[in-house]
Amino acid sequence: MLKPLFGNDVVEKILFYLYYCKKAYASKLARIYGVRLNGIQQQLTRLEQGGVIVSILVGKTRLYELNPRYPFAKELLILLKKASEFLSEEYIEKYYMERKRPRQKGKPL
Amino acid sequence: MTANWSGMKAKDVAAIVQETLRKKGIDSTVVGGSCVEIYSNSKYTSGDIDIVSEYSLEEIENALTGLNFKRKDKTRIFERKDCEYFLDFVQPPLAIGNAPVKQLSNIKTKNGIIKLLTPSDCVKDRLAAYFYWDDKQSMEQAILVAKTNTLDYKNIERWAKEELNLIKYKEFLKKIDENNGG
Repeated sequence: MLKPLFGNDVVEKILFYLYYCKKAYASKLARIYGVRLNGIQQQLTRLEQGGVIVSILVGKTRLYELNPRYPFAKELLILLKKASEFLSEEYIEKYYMERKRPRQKGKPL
Repeated sequence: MTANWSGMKAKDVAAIVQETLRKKGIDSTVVGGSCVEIYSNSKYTSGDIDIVSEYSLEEIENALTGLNFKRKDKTRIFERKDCEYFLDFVQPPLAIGNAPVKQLSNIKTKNGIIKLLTPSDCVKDRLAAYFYWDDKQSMEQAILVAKTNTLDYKNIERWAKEELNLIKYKEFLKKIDENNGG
């Protein structure tokens, strides 16, 4: 949907994920979208160098989020919000509605 | 230029780099933690010098060749072996949060002029990190700058209000007061 603007699908996927789920790490994005980890990492690096997203190391995992200090952060959120209105409920359910509440270690479900 | 780079302070490195860029017609501004280091007389050390320039990294790379600062791979980082600071050419535009920076400071040094954020914008920049990520180090840095510089508190308060973070700004004021023995 935003590919013509962002230049590629992966950036759109990353930004939508961060818009909905707030935080993400590279391997999770690759797994969820079924794309190459290398491709995700390249775009995360590009977005981070551009100041669009920021990252923090949690243990051994680098977690990414949208950069609230990006000069166009508010405008980007408006764009993502508007674009998200065109996503189908099935698509949102599939990619962004994962369980977020805690789950005890070892619990079967 | 026969400068002794090892042991040089951020202020000296920034002045030499900016003066060199200036001679090549490249305008630049020092931002981020390096401003804290400069304004606090090195009571805080960031280890890098963040610079914003509208010019391309290729033009900057060419301009800095004479200083032996080499671009690290294809990143925005430039290093020189014997200099303890690396240069990070941050993605423009020059902004505090989502607002463009309107006013800058110039500091004259023996190595040239440093163009950087004003002390008030430097404090806003640090407080923004405290507002968004609750980063206490950034709060401490803002206090360091406030202790040794004159700030436009009305302007900072107005900005904090726009950022919907007046409560955290009041914490900053309280800490300054405590530092002053209040």
